[in-house]
Amino acid sequence: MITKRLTIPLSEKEVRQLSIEDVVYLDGLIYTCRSLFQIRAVEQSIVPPIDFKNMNVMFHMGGVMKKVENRWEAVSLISTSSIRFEKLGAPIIKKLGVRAIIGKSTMGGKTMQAMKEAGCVHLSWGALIGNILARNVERVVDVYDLEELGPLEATWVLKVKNFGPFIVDIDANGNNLFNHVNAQVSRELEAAYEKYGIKDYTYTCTDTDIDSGC
Amino acid sequence: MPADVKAKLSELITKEDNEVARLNLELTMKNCFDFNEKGDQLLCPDTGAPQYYVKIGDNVRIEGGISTLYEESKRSIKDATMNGKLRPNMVDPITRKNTGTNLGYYSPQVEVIFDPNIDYMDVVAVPISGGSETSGTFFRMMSPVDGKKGIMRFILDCIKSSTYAGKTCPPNVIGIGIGGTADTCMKIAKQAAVLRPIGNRHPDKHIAEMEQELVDLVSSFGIGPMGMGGSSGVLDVHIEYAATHVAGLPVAYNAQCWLSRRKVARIGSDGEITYRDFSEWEYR
Repeated sequence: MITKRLTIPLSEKEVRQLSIEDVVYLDGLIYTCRSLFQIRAVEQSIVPPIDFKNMNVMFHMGGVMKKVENRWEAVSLISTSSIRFEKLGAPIIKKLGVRAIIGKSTMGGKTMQAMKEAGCVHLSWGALIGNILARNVERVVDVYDLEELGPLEATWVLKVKNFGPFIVDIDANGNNLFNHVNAQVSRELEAAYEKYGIKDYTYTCTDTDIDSGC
Repeated sequence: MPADVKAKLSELITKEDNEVARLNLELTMKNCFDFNEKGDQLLCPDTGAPQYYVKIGDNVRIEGGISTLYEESKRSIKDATMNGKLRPNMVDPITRKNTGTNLGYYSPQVEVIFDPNIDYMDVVAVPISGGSETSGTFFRMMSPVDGKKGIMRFILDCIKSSTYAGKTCPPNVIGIGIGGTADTCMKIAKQAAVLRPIGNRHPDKHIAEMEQELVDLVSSFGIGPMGMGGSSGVLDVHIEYAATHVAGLPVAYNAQCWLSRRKVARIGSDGEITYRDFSEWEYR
């Protein structure tokens, strides 16, 4: 476990030097998105006027924003589950030159392959830090498509400082932290199945279709 | 975060060897308590689907009638949403249009039970968070022939699938429902997950043993906080069972996230309101 504080834009070199279980804090500008941003970017080439080359960290938005007088503030900020955007992962990385996706859970094989090719990592939070992350937003710089898409799906541009900690769970070398954990859980489970005599257990089939092989 | 959850997480930290897990557990505790003394910050922005459990003593009289509970539940959720305390989460399931108020058909859900032995009313608020609800809910109508082996296989497979990559925000409170009709089965699994405090054991000795056995077993899997590895894989396992039809064996699984938010307002016979972390939800 190595702790690193990185400044956005992230370079390909520094991203490729990250390994799973590394702890990352970020400084600079990030943008938020969920499914609608990604669908529109990939399928219709509609994107907000953002300099993606210099703003190459994407945040899968799950947060609460609040307008205080004329300014927007982040009340609580946590990234949402990434696996549900798997279909759009590889194309969005290539299209926008994303170097880091901040999300939750994991992403699938196709996105992992794209991350390896392009030099991109997936970061997740491991502690309950919604209030800390909100506090580490120095300023809400811009918001796009708020009226049309609502506060969760809108694109927020946030200036962040010491934003983290995030754990690298997919690195640019094809490693996935969760697959390592899963392999261990599977081994332990096999032993448990053995212990309870349910290793090759199949539930009673109640399908009466004669061709079902029941 | 309720006191019983805090105590359990503090205990898990002392046993945790995994470096990343320790970092995340310590940061969570520091954040929940040191940085949030007033308890008014949103540790997780998902303020859930609104759910109330209300326990009413026989002699309790409510101004406007007992059905006022439904109106007041709706009003309170709408107010809290409009005041920015709750994120507007609830949408039409087909059009996906957000109601903006967290209200809608069956929302908030209000579950009422009556108790002849109390002279107060407990109102339990439980936000049902999206991650643990959507990734940690399973149901299987088994055959009686499947028996204990089938139940065990079902539970273990649910644990593996739901905790992978931290989908249900582990360490979870795992609620298991066995028996009843389909709806009762899921209802008691949910209540086991969200209402019973950590460390609480079922009065049936065999079920209590099975709960503890599963806690020890899941802890040995190496799931860790947010599924990133470590011994802190589960907060507790609670099993509830209900009489069921001779023809079937329904089993339900429902997980609660590691923040396990619940708060109880106890309204006494003198009208005084006190706040506590859990209510004894005995309804068996």
